[in-house]
Amino acid sequence: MNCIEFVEGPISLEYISRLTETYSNQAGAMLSFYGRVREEHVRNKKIVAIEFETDAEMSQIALNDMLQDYDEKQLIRLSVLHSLGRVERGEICFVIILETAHRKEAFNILPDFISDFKARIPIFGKELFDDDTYVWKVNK
Amino acid sequence: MQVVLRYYGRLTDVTKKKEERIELSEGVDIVFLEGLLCENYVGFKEEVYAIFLNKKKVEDINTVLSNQDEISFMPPFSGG
Repeated sequence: MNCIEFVEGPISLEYISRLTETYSNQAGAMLSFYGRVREEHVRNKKIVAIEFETDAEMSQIALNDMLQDYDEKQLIRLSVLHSLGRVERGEICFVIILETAHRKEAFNILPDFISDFKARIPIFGKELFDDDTYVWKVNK
Repeated sequence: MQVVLRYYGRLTDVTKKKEERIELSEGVDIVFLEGLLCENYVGFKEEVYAIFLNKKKVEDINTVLSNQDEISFMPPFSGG
């Protein structure tokens, strides 16, 4: 099952835990990545939260397209969670759970997958500052 | 004919909206639509974005629009 699921607000550890209760029998490795809203200063202002928006259908289409570039024999199963709406500093907004036969494939796939995801999936983030202003997030 | 326009990211600041329905004459293409938006919204022509027609990325901006088409304007993505 390779899909992206959008969650309103922050993603809880309980929700993530439920996802890891099921697994593929062919997978010897399950690797989880959690992305949080980081405390960062931009132009001397502190980020307190990020608000995310997307077109969910387009994101699923984009993810399906993206997965064509990955060897399905190596990437056995993938789950992606991403927040929509407001997520406060320190809270989890992005989760990847991938399953591979061996740990080597999992550690090889994850970094490129994250980079690809950021570049190819139509999600937009608004960085909210402690003075009530904001700026649209730019992925580096 | 009527089409739906959807704006994301910075473009919601430029247009002051997330979505709108507009009336267009039959036979207009995406080039015409872009020109219209540049006229209607200050700063639109300076923005960087990709255009999606009915959820598929537009490769040919001379594509003619049809009634009830959904056109999304998306700046560079910033999720993850």
